[in-house]
Amino acid sequence: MKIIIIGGGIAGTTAAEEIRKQDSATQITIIDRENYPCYSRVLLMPYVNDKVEREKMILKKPEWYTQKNIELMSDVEVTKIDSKNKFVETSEGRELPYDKLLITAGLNVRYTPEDKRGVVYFKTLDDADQLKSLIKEAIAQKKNKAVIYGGGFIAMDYLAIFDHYKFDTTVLMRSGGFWSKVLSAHAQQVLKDQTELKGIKIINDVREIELIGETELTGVCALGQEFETSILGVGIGLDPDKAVLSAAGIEVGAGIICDKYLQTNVEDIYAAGDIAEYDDATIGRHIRYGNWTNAIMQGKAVALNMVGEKIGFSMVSSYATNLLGKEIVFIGDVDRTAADEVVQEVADKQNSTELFIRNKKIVGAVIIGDVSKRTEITKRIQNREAVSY
Amino acid sequence: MKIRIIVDPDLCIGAASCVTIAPETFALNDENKADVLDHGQAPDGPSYEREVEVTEDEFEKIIMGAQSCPTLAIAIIDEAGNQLYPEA
Repeated sequence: MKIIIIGGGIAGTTAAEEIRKQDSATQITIIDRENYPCYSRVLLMPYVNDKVEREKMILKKPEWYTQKNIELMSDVEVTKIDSKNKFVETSEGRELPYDKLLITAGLNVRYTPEDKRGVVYFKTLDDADQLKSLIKEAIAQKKNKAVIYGGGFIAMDYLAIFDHYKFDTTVLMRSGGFWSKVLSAHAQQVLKDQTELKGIKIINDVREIELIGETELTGVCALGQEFETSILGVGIGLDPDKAVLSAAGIEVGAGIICDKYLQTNVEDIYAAGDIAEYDDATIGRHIRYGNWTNAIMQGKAVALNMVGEKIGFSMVSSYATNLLGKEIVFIGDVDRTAADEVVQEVADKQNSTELFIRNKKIVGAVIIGDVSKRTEITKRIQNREAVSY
Repeated sequence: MKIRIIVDPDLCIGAASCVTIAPETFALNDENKADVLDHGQAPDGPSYEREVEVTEDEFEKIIMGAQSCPTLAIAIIDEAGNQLYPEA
C-alpha cells in the first residue's frame, strides 16, 4: 500500500510514525512545503527570545526518517490532487500515486494586501528567523518600536517577544478587543488592563492599514494615525488552501470537513491536525482545533483508521497561552455563535471564567487569570455534565 | 523498572499533551504546569520530579507523553543515570 501525507508538521509526522508501527510494508511519503524535518512550532517564540537553540527545535532528525523508512520530500508543494485517478501533482512536476491520502497541511496565513521589508508573519521557522534578524537590526539602529496587527493567539507570541526585547509596542486590532468574537466584555477588559499595566498601546477597530516606507517599512498608518516602526508583526487569521482541495472534490468549510473517523467526503482521503474540521461526539458538532495536543492525538487516531481500524476521534481540546504573564486557557468549543448561552462564572478585576453552554451541557470554557479550575472544567465537558443556568 | 521523571516548570507551558497521553503520571497544577504523579498519586505532596517504579507498558506511555511535549520540558532518566529522553 502507498500512503501519501501532505504536510510534515506534528500531525502528519505522528501519523507516519503510527502507521509504521502498525505495518512495516506500507510505503509512506511525507510531502512538505517547508525545508526542515518536523520541528516544534510551539518553540518558535522561545527561539526568537534566545531561550532555545535552533537545533533543539528539530524534533525528528533526518536519520529518524531513514530508520523508520519514511520518505520526506521537503520544499515541495502539492499543486493538484486527482482524487479520481488517485495521484498528486507536485511543484516539481511529478505525479505520485497513492492508495490512501492524508492531508495534514495546516492552514495558510492571511496576508496584508501590501508587503515591504519589515512585515513578518509568525508561522514557520523561516518566519522566526526573519523576525529575529529584524529585531537584532532594529536594536542595532536603536529603533526599538514594533507594531502588531491582530488580537488573537499569534499576537500573544509577538507581545512576549517584543516585551522580552523591551520594544515600545502598539497593537492594531481589527475589532474591539482581544478575541472579540469569543470573549465577554469583562474578559476583554481583564486582558486590556494587563496590556495597560505593561505599557502596551492598543488601537481598536482598525479595518485597514497602510504601510509607510519605500521598500523598507518605516511606519504603519491606521485610522489616520501614523505609528513609527521598522517591524510589523501580522497575525490576522488562517485559511485552508481551498483551491487545491475544492478542485479535488473535497468538502471545505473552516477546514476540511471530516467524519468522526477523520475521513473526508472523498474515498481514501483523510485529514488531521489544524486543517481537520471533524465531527466531535463530546461537543456534538463539527469543530476545528489548532493546537499541538490535538494535532498529535488526531495523527495517532487517523493512522489507525487508515490501516483498517474504525475508531471515532473525540477529545476535549485546549489551548493554553498567556498575555504578558496573565494565563489564558481555551477549552473545547468556544464559538459564541454556536452556544445557546455563555455564563460568566468568575468576574473579578484579575480573573474571568466563561462557560459555553449548548443543549444544557457545558461544551467549552475560557479561563483567564486563575486557571486552577482547568482540569475540573475539562472533566465536566468530557463527562457531558448537564447544567441548569 | 525504576525511572526518574522530571518536568522543567520554566519550559512547561501547559499544552497538556503529556496529561492526555499519560494521565497516571502527569497532571496540571494550579500554575497550569505539569506535576509528576506516581500512579495517579502524589505522595509527599505535589512535585515536578519523582522516581517511579513502572511496567514496560507504563514506561512506553510515559516516554510517549514526554515525546509529545512541544517544549521538551520532560526528561526521563533511567536507574543508571542515563537520560533516555530527550536524547542528550
